[in-house]
Amino acid sequence: MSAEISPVAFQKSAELSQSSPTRVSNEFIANKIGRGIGHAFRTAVGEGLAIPGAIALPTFAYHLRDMVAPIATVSSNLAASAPNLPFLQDAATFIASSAGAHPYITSAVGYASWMLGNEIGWAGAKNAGPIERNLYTGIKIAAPILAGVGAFTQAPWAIPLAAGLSVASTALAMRHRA
Amino acid sequence: MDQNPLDYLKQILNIIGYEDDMEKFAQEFLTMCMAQASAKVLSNLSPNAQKEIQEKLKKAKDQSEITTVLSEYQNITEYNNILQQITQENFEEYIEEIMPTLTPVQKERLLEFLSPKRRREDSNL
Repeated sequence: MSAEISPVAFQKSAELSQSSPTRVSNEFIANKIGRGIGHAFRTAVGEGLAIPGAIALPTFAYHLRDMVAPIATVSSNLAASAPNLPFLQDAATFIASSAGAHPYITSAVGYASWMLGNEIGWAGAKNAGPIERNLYTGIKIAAPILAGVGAFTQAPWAIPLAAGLSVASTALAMRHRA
Repeated sequence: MDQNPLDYLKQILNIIGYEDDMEKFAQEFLTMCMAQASAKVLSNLSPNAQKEIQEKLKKAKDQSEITTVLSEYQNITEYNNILQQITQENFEEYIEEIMPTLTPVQKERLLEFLSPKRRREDSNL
């Protein structure tokens, strides 16, 4: 292999070097505009999944006990208190109707949606500052632990706490969705 | 950025050897910042006010019309502060992105242009 650089290769290299700032600049704008829409979508979908996951999570932690009635109550209350959030209403209706009939399925779906929602929601909230990012992460970690403990001890605050923490983390993520 | 932001951006594009339409890029950059600022202001309003304002903003054709619409609902000083903050953040992020692609000469010229000393001299003119 010759150590000399061919004129074509040199020209190509020069072209690449010259066009690089232009290309990166154009990509910057394209990514920024695209990311705004993408982040909003990912956050809304992700957190939309995380909320029903949080409501159903205690059944995963302790689904053999009778947690069906509190789940249905909290789901209905949440749906009634948030008429402007269609995804929450749909999720609450789904959980309330399926919790009695299929506790195992509800548990599994709830846990999966909680995990998936966290991941996707977080991807949409990446542009939050470090303090809020840590707070978000802290809430996300604390919610299932507290909900699980509450469910095992049959504490009445288990489901409202899990749902409340999930709503709080959603509010944090949605603040930075653009 | 005390001077006209459009000119300021075009000067930077000139330094880095931007080869496409500089005017278009600078306009897009600033429009993006305005859109982000508008979205942030909107998110602080009530749902009813948001619907109303969105309808009006759809009809707005430029920054002055956007400013007029927003001023009906929101303290315009707050909007301007948010716009300034967002523009600053986007600008810093942009500079970080392009810096590795520059030649040593371009880097030196850009850093000199961005230096506080140079900005002070400009503002004294």
